[in-house]
Amino acid sequence: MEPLIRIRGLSKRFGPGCSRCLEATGPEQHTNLCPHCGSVMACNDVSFDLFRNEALGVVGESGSGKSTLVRLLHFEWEATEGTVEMHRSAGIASLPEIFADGSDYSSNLLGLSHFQKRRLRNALMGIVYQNPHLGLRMQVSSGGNIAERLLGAGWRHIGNMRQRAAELLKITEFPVERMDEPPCNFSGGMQQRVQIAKALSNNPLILFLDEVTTGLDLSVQARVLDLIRNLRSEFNLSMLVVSHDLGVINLLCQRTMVMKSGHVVEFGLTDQILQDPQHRYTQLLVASQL
Amino acid sequence: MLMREWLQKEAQLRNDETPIAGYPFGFMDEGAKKEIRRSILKAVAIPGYQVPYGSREMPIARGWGTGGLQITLSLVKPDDVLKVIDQGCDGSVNAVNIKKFVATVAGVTITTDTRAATLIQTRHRIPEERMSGRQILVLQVPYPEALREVEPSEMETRRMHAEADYSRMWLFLYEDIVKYGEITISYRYPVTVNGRYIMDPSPIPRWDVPKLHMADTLFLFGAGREKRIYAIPPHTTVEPLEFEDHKFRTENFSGKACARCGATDTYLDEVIDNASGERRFFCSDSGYCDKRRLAWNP
Repeated sequence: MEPLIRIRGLSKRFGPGCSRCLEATGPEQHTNLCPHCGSVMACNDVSFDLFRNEALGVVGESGSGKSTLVRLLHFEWEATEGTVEMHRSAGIASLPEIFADGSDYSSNLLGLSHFQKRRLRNALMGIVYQNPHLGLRMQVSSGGNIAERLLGAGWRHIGNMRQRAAELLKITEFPVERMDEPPCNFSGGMQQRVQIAKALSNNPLILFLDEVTTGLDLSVQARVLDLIRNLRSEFNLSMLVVSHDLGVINLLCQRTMVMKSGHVVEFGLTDQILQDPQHRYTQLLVASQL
Repeated sequence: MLMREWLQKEAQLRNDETPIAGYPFGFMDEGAKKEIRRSILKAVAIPGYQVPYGSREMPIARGWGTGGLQITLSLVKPDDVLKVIDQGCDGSVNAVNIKKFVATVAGVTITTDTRAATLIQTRHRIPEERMSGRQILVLQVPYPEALREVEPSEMETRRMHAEADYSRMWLFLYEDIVKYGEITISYRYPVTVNGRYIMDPSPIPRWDVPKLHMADTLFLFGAGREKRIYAIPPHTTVEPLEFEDHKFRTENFSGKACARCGATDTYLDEVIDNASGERRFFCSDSGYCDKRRLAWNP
């Protein structure tokens, strides 16, 4: 089977950069801050494949580059280097030019214009942030938050949009009769459900989950995770699950990569990584799990 | 006395006056006029796009029509026939001041007849009579940015225009419908020009918005305080933002008629008589109203 997206050599540097940045940062040096020029290598030479209907976990400590990776792939930040290619089967009709040369994979998506990236994102991607304030407009109604994505994708029928929003909110177990209230009226767990409904509204192929359950109480956490697992099989989603909680990764993901100081230090099947961690840092991570 | 008669009297009084000495024709220096004409050309080439320009100081305050005035002065020729209206009225203070000023510095003829004019400057109305391809309508604009309601940052609104990222404007309308059952914008109704840019049509009532669509006339919009010029060239599509199940609609004056000329197909102003408390309606377009009265009572 061919991967849905191929990511090769993805790097993100904050700062001017110098010739010694690469050798002076990384897991061996325990830092991503270059002592010579002061640049931060948030992500360094990250390469992996994401397959269809797969949940790929990304674990690592704070500052290891997990969220940076998601923001690069969601086109929120510009990558310093690297390529992201998408398989033809993703079938994005509105952007035929990215498959111009007849090959199975698109040109480098990171080189597209802002306009093209926005259309690609609207057509294929959904994202759920740890903090609902990042993903939702708190003063706009919950239904409106979902409608915003549909409007971006060209929907122009109020009745149809409200019906779609109600369907999605029902799936995420949100009280549909309160869909015209703004998210700020609801608890964190409910806000997270609105975010998930919003992310699912355009039938995405790829869903980015950035620490979705951190900050929720345990019973809500379990229900949200259960929901995500069901949604993956129901909607055939590819998911990139970022978490520092190995329990979440264990529950959701088949494959996992471990990041430290901007580098991928270990990559493999989730079971394997949890049972038999190879890298020193992974061993520490697994051993310190409560 | 009709507005037209008053103007004829005024013209007779000033008959031998020549354009004021010490100023170039049309008040502005040639460099300024050239820059504004270039901005207008760019605006016409990209319908609905706001072109920045160096707004000059005018002898009226910013926010009183300086944007429209600068366009008028940069376009005016000695043989032009000028009409200036303020919310449809030829006789309001703002309109009279501007037309007197332009007549003084450019020596043009002034009219109240929409059909006779070659150049019309207007504040917040479009004349009722359909204009031809040989005429130009200049609209005064207080707030050129249609997205300002949803986004306060100029940098961000420019990015939104560049990427055609208009979902937030549509969301604003969606929320309006969810809250009130209909879109509550009464004037400054946002429109899509040429299928690309969302544009502020200046504070014209909804009634006038359909007149912009596939018109024969060139519409120029000038915002002096905000330093922007934009345009709708002739025969350009102009669509008000609407949903498939919530269509755009204009003001409804059914059952009402102008108390002065009896028109039932014009935009009407409601006037309440202070003494009797009686409500009466009059044409907002005073030039058209005068013309209709004259037609059946010459």
